[in-house]
Amino acid sequence: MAKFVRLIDLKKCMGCRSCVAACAVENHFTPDAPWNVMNEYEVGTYPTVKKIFNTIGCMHCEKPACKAACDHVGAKAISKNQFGVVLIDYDKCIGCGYCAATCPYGVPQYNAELRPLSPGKGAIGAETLPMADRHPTHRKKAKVVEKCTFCTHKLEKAVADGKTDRIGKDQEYTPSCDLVCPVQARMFGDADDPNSDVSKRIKETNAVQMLKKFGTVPQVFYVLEEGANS
Amino acid sequence: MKNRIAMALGCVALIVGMQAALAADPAAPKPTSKPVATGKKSMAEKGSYHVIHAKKAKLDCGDCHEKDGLADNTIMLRLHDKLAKGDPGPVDHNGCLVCHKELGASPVRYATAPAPAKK
Repeated sequence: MAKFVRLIDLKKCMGCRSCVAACAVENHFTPDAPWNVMNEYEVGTYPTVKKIFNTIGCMHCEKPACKAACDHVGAKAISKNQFGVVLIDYDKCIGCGYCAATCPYGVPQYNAELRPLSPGKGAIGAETLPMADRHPTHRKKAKVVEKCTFCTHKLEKAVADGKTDRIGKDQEYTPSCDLVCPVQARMFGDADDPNSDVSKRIKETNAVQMLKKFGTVPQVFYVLEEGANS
Repeated sequence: MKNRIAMALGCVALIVGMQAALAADPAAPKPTSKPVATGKKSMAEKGSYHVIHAKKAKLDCGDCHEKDGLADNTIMLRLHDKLAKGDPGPVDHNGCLVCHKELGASPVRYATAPAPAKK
């Protein structure tokens, strides 16, 4: 069984936000409920200062705190599938916000109202599709929580096409944010396969999971820049 | 001299009288015991999250919320969002570990570290 992970190399990331834009268009997240955010800050002392760019989305934890909270309130809207993807069922979500409050990374986003991605300019991207034709993760609802899905609609397509070996390689089977990075700071693939590119690069770069002390075992690994906080 | 003393006494009487009148002003704002709106994202008025932590566990706002914001290198999705007026500040999740990491009275939200292997 595959376990899909993402590698983000903060030493390469230059903060261009291509990944954020790609996610916004692919998953039409609204401004009030972003799925991917670029944080930036400076380290060092003048004149030797440096800017760190740190893109954050769902970590798809192996032991997700959000799921524990959701199960505790009885909504059971959060699940983790066979590929390790943590998903929210909008039809079950009661919008209590417990998952958002519990996630150590502040990832789940409460979407108070459905707003267009580009206000005043009409529907774009997946917004143009009728609701019934969309993947369930794109059938947006107001007053529920949403977050990154590892572009699970693409992973499901790979399974349906019998092309799981092409996940992380082919455009149609790879999360959009990982495709567009102009400096190849992002990588996606199967961590259960020791010969996969992502497995090799995690090992080569000593990539780490963020905030390990919370014990949630994230499936996103970071190559940390000097001064970055793990 | 007598006129000056009389004038000073008159001023003092006037100030005391004004203070008494202001204190008794029925239009003056009164303290409220009702929840105060602290921003559109607050769950204080509708969720049981704050009921559990603020009322039952009697935690102060500052026990969870960082009024001055979090450090720039904090790992959090919307770290740099501007706070709404009256917002008590973002929550530093490190504080959650105090109660929610180990088995106890509080539900475990964060997986405990694996037990050391027996020799």
